[in-house]
Amino acid sequence: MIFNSIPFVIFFLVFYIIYLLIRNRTSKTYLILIASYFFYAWWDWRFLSLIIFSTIVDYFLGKKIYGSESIKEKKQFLFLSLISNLGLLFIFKYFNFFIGSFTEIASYIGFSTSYNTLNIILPVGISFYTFQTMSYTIDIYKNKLRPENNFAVFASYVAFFPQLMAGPIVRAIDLIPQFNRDNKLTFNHFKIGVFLIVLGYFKKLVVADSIAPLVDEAFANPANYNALNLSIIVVFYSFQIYCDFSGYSDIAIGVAKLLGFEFPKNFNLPYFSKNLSEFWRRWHISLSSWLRDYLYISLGGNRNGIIFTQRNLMLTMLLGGLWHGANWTFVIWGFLHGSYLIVQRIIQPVSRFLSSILPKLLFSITSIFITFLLVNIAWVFFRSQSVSQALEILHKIFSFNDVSIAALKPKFQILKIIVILVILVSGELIYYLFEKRIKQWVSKFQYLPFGICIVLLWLILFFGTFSSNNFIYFQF
Amino acid sequence: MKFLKNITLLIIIFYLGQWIIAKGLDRLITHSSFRLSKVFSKDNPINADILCLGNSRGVNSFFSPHINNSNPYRAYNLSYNGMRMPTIAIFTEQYLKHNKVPKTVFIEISNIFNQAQNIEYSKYNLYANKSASLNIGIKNTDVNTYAISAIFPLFRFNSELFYRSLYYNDDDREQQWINRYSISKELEIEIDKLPNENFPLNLSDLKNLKELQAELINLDIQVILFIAPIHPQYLPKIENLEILKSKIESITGTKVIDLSNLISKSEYFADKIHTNIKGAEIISDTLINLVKD
Repeated sequence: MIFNSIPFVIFFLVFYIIYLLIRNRTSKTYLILIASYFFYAWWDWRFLSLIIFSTIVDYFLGKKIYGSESIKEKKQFLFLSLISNLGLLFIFKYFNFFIGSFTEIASYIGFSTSYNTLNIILPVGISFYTFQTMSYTIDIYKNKLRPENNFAVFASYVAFFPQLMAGPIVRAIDLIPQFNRDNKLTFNHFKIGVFLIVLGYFKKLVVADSIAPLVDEAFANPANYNALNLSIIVVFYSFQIYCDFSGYSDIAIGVAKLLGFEFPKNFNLPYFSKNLSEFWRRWHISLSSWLRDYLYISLGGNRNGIIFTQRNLMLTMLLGGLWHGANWTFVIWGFLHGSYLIVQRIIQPVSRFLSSILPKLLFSITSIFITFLLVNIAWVFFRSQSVSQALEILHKIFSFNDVSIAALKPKFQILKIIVILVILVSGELIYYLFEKRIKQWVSKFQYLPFGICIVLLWLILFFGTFSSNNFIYFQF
Repeated sequence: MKFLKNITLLIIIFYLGQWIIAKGLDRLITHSSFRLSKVFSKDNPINADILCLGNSRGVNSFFSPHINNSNPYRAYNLSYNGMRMPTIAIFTEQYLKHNKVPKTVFIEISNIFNQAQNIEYSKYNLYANKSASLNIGIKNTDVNTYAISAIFPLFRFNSELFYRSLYYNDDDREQQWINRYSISKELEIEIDKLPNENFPLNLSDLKNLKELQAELINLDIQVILFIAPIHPQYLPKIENLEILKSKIESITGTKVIDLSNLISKSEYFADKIHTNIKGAEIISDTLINLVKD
């Protein structure tokens, strides 16, 4: 079930009425669990078994890790948990990729191999819920968390429908306690929840889905487009993926708020970042902080000198790239971001010097522009079907062979999207510059978010694309 | 209680607001010079002597400013991208309602070479409140669009046609809309790689063409059916163009003016099936010679 579909609207209305009528906390948990399984089964009931398997395994291993006397025993149970979670991911997401790559490399060096690939589809949300369950057992191992005794609570945590399909990745330490308390729905929850849901739909239906057909067509037939056209399409894609994913996150956070739950922020105006490390503090925050805490720091972080820090950065970004999908394009995307971060660290003294001599505004705008440009180059690999296609597009863009405005296509769609992006970026810029004052206004004028919702709903009617497109991050 | 009252008030503001915005925007389209909007204009009629109907091939093959500069006739291109015969008939009906009867109508007939079953009436939803037959077409083919537009009139303006209506505010600029670039070398290479193909023929659209033609002839209008030029590298790959032409001629009882091989230079094309302004000027000169004095 996807958020931008009629079945979801009906499902949520029915669920929410029942949820509001129930007073008992335990009954609410059971209702959430049943609704979450129904929500997932609507897509494909067979893969529900994977979630249940993951839930059972980590529920019991969490207890075992906590109850173990020796570190060795704890480690063994943690290892079992990681193997079962990563094993699921490997089989369903990476098996065919590794077999394919191995066969290609073998044939390249002259060996003939024939291994069978698996004829399976990728279960939606598997990358998200396996990371959630892994954080649960790792945190128990690190003595940051006690295991949850109530199985229904733990199962609800794993399958909680607002964030089951595409995050945000909410850690057990943050979410499980919320199931064990009375979540009273306040006016503030309702106000912000409704606002975030409408904002999420605006981002998805108005921005992401309006851009999608242009990007799909251009990436399918790059030969039909000139350099200027392709550059515009790549910039559009950066907004498509941002609005598609942050739109989903906004809806998820908003829905959770309506139920009285708090999710962490997943995006924080990423395209206003002045450098790449700031970008990663603002983009897909729940994943980047997960990778930082459970991978980068586990690898040693920045504790063992420059060389090891850079190795750890690169490994984290490569695996972060691979997390998104089993394709070399994602690996290169991760590699580019890893390289950006390493270079950024190396040239830090130069950028510090420049920031001290240049006017602050000029330095900020230039930094934002350069960061945005670098992120866009990496997005070309992220979106392309193959590395050769990405290189073809980049070659065409940077050859500047044809920058004729007359040949731009489709002109009116481009014009429409530019108007939409002006609205979006202006809104975000106002928030970026006056965040504090806006928050004061929102607490002073209680109905201000609803007023903004009305304007957003008018814009959805006026600009929205109602094609029931899936969210991009479902494929990850 | 206060909360419910305020929420109700906000819903009313939302609903009335979109209704008022829709009313305001509707006034904007009635004053637009965009060809499809202008069809409905009572204050500023088109009143052309020569009209061209068709899809994007019609748009890019009939350049009315060129004809108007060199002839005593007032020519007007009413073709629009992706337009099929049933919708052409609807807009022609509206044209005849609000304008004087033209002397000659050219119809570029490539739009009947398709296999599509459904007609995209909802693409023209912007004008649903101005044409009963269009509104019925939308109701029968896209009930969601029909229902949403009925409840939220602002939704009708969620259309490329509206952006075009806003963009084109004077006649001259609107009729200047045509491809102004030449085909790229890469695209020429792509055409070479294409396999031979047979164009389909939509018999239902052909029936609509015949009906439209009969209605126009009844009004004493000269009707000329033509096929616009096709890129010289692509034309030999279409195996059944002659057969299709004969079939159309036998059903409509009219000779089809076949200009598919009129232009042999690649630079007169924007892609494999669309000419550019240079090509359109040649086609326009050829077509104008067919108009009866």
